[in-house]
Amino acid sequence: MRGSLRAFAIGFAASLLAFAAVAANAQSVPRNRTLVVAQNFDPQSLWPNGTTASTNLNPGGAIVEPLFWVNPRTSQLEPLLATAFKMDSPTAYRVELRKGVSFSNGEPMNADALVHTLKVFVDGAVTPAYALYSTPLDRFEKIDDHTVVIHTKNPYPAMALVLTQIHVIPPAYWQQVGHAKFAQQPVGTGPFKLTEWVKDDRVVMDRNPNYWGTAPKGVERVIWKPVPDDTARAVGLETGEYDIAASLAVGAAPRIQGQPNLQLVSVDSYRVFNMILSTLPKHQSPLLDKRVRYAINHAIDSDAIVKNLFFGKARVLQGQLLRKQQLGFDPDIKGYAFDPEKAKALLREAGFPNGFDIDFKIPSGRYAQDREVCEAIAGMLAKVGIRTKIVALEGGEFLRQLRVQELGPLSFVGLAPPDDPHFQLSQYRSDWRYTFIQSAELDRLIDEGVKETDVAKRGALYRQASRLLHEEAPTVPLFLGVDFYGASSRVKGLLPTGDQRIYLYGLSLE
Amino acid sequence: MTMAADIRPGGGALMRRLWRGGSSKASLLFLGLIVLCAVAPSLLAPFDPYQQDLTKRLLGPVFSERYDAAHLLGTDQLGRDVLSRIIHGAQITLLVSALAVAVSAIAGTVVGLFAGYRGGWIDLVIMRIIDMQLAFPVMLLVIAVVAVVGPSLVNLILIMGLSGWPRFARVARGSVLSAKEMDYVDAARAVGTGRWRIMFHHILPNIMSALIVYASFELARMILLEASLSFLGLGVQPPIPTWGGMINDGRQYIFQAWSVSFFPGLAILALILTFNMLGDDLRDALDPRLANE
Amino acid sequence: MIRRLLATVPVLIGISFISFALIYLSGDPTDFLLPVNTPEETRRAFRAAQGLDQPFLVQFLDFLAKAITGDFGTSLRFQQSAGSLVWERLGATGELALAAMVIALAIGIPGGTIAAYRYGSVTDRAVRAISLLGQAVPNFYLGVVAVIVCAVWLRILPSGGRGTVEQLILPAFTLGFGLVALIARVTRSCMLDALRQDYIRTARAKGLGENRVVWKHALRNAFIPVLTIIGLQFGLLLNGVVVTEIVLSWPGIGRLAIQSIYARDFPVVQTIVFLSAFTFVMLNLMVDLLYVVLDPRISYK
Repeated sequence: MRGSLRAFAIGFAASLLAFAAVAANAQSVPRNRTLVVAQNFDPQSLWPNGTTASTNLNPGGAIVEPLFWVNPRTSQLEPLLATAFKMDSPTAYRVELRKGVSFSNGEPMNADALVHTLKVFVDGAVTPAYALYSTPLDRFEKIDDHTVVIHTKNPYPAMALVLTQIHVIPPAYWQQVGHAKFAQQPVGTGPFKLTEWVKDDRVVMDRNPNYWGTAPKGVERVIWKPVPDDTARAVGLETGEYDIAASLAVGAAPRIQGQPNLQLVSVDSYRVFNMILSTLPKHQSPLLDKRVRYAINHAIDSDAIVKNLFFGKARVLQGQLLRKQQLGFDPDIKGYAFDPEKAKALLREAGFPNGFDIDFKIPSGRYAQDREVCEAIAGMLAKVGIRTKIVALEGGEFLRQLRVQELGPLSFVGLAPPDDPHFQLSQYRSDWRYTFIQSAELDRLIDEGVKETDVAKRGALYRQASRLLHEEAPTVPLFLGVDFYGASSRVKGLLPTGDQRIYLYGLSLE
Repeated sequence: MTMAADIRPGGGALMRRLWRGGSSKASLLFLGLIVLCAVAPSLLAPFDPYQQDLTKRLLGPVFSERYDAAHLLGTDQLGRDVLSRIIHGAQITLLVSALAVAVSAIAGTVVGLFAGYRGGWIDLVIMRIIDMQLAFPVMLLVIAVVAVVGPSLVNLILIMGLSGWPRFARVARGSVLSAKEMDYVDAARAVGTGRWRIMFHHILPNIMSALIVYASFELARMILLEASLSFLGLGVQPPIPTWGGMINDGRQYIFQAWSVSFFPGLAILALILTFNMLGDDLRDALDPRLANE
Repeated sequence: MIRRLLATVPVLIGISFISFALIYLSGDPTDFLLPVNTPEETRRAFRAAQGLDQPFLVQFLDFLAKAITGDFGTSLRFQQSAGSLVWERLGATGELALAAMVIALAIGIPGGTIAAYRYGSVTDRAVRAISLLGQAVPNFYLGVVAVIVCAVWLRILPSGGRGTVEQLILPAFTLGFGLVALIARVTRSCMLDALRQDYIRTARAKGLGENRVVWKHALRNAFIPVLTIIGLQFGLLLNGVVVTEIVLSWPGIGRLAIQSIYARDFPVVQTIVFLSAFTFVMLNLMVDLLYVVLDPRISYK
């Protein structure tokens, strides 16, 4: 007994010592000049082109900067490391780089750095996550020290979007350490430099004294903390441990709104939530009858879901997958009105006067409120006689089933393709891995749209595609997601984007 | 942990002895109530547990500020009656945990009996497998299996059950080892009774009490395991109510409507306390040395 | 003793095999690691680069061969050595587990002893009921409620993170409270046994003080089974660790394990399973050794 007590005592003393050691590593930056951001996950990589996850891009992008960004305040493409780009021909895009910018290790940010970055960007072995963007890129031509021409394999109207994704890296340092090490210890041109990264606990970055632009005012240090639990992020914001808490649960929103020293920022997400109603013959079900698909559309009350489950903050989709602000949005399409009687009538007409039983596959914990929304949907379907059996799938399994088209005939998805109508609509091309419709006409519209550089003509093509999708109803367009951010009232100018990117440009701390 | 198996009180005497203790009386009464809920939830529940009303969501219980007199304990995030869901939830919660314990008790006892009785290399191999299972982090095992085979009710019960069998096997094996040398087993063997018959007719009844005590603790553990799985989104499928799932769903709204997670939490607390208290009392009641004090 | 050590080898290999097979069956990590709309050729190239296109047995034997040399492979998600990913988080989890165990023992052992000493009394029942409370609430809920009370209402403790002693209190409590019931129960029943033994009567007859009899002589004997339980409950502790680390933002292995399973990050899951199985085996070995120290009657020859 005595021996083991001593063992415990020694163990306990050792752990106390460990605390002392941590405490000794005291912060030299005062708390009021430090911005603490709580996200749900620790980054896997601080190299922004390593993955497409916003939890990586947010801290990584504060160190390694892209050529352009879309300012969420203006929705305009604004220059960062590039000052301008223009189309020399439909397959050649000229990028002018900012002059006099250096990486924080002293390397110059110039055409050589960009060409090197582009070569890494198109290398599928190193940058597989960006293959969707980089596949059309062909070769890169250095014109002078600050000008590069990007040649593409075919006309590429979405080029502007691609340029916001290319983060410029210092060639000498990259070659010296390799991409794996770079992801751990990135060097860039950004307003902050990496100071310390304690895995799953904190990423600490300090102000870059030689930053070329205007750094966030009042912020000496940024600490990114991974806080996986929704409630914990909200609570930590309230107790003042965090200045910004990302991806808050809807349930936390009203409480944050009610506090004088906190602010709630709600952002329309690019994530489009819809139900899959498969029209593929391999998914034998009553849904192969178009009238049943219409009936389901009429049975769902998206307004009620948004109003009650999202406090009216999410946006109901207008019978199409594109947002109002997007090219190709068709104001003439009206969604199928919520009308349970009409739904029942359509079901009767289709030969299901007593409804039917069907599996409803849903992701569990992948999106905010996913299970609640689906339970509500199941309740609405039950009212018109469609008896669903919910099959909740763990995230990884859900993705697998999506990719191999096993989510048919009926499921709930929320996908956030890159913010260009082509990426949204091409998910319905006949040969796409997880399409649930086969239509030669739709394929033609998608193929023509991606090559059309005339904006008006491109918009017309996509409007046609939207109408076709509305008519065939392989989906129930439900709503655009909404992301909630909470912040201390000391934080000014916080405006994340619809893909959960938190840019520090224009942000300040009082 | 070992239990003297030489004096066995009969079932009636056991119940009497249990009933004598004050806390056991309370435990048995509460358990009776929960079992009643589980057997006939529709009789007791004021509402259909699946009936939604999005306009009446997150109401508080009747003694709070925002309430609807019809909903005694308030409503959940989809406007369903919390009391009705708790009553119906008793059924699934008990069913899942009881069946999971049954699976692990049966599998574990059979394997443990066999290993203990046969001995030799069979025992050795089985013990290694038990070690393996004990050393395997249960939670990770369950998550991985649920991800592979899908979280249907039957799968969930089987997996949770399989996570618990080694403990039963250990209890059974240990008891067999000591019972094997008893005179009555020798006697049975002498008159030519078959191996399985000896195991199930002569040895099993003697270790039954130890297993029952253990099972009552396992019941509590299984209820918590199901709750933890719900927390990770891998529990019983929605919209079927389970107490663990209700706590987890309600947790998100803890600031707006504390009651949504509180009442199912209270139900779990009471039920687990009951199982544990009963287990303790059962053990004391079965322990012949304590009975005479 | 050496035979026991050797016997753990097949156990460890068996565990590795099972976890490898499970994760392998549960899907292709490429689905999770690359965006869902990545072109098929890129996926194929990625699979080939990570060795995911090899047959199952080849992948497993490859893992095993490297694991013997201490190399657990490269994490698919982090592109870092799986061993170092786990190592970076080991200290945090160890600290949490140790603190939780200290709390559990500090409450459970005196509780169980008092309950046994006052067997059948109101004190007995009260101590049992209190010690059971921790086990009667799912610990994710216990954690959330504790945070709301201590961090939001009372503002005396931080809501999460690691670094200071204050930050350790809530997670250690959340994790440890669930073990109290178990330890108290085993202590109680063993003390009941011990208090009836002859040597206790002898000690009392010799006129030793009640305190000394109970806390020294009886508890010393009751402590052995308690130790066994602690060893066997290591797995239970690990379950709690997963949940506690998520709810209280503790940067440990449990969180890494869950995220790695979800992402089908084979090498990391393998490393964690292997490590926890190894720790379990070693802990139980140590418990056996402690027996010898605590109870001179047992010896391994």
